[in-house]
Amino acid sequence: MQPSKRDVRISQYFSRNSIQFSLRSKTKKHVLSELVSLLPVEATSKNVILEILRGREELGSTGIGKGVAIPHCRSAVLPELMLVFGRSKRGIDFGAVDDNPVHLFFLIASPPIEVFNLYHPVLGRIVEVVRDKRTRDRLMEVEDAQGFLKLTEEVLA
Amino acid sequence: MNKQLELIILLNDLELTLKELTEDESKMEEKMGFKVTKKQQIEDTRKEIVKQLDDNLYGAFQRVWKRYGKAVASVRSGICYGCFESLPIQVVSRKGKNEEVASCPHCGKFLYWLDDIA
Repeated sequence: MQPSKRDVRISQYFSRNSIQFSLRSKTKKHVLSELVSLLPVEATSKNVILEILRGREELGSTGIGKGVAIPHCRSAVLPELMLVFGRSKRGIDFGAVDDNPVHLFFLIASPPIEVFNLYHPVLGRIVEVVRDKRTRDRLMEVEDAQGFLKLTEEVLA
Repeated sequence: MNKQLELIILLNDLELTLKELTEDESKMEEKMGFKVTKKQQIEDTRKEIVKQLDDNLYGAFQRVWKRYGKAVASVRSGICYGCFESLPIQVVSRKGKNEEVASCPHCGKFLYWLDDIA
């Protein structure tokens, strides 16, 4: 049976190294590359994932407005679903639906087939919680990985 | 990774993205608030990949894609995750597996060894 969005524990898909509170990038092209660099996969796999993410962005920006973007893709080079969080206090022009700069980035990368088919439930759950302004404000303030994971446990689990 | 294998995986992933976004999944993402519009650009990217791909490999890719709706399968512990059959020892024992293009003798999907990167 496919898990519902409520059953998904998002925090387990982040690793400590996949959380970055001060993204250095200033452009959409570079931030995608910086986010992919945080994935715990080998360099050639990162190249493939980056190309697919760029392809997905060509179909329409994954900047969903209110300072949030959720770039996402599936690729055969991924062993399991992985998440990356990145934050830019300055904000980055990502071509978001509301044209506002993006501060909070959630990257979702998944293999084409997963045992529990979590790709869309995870995507949907993240979209759902970042719509809440209080959550976005807390994500802008959190300062360490432990605090971030605690927050995701609280709001995303 | 072998350049042709990388192109095959890219093509497979792009085809999957296009398939998901042009079928029911597209509506799912649009409901979540994502924009899904400019399809021509991704078609151009796809054509660029096909141009660089060996003709015979592209022919094999098309045949497998047409049959299964995907053309790449990962390999773990000697098992093709495209058909869940054990791969022959001569395929499994090769070194530098992702440095060559190989396909599963059972289902024909192109193989990508995840064991190599673990």
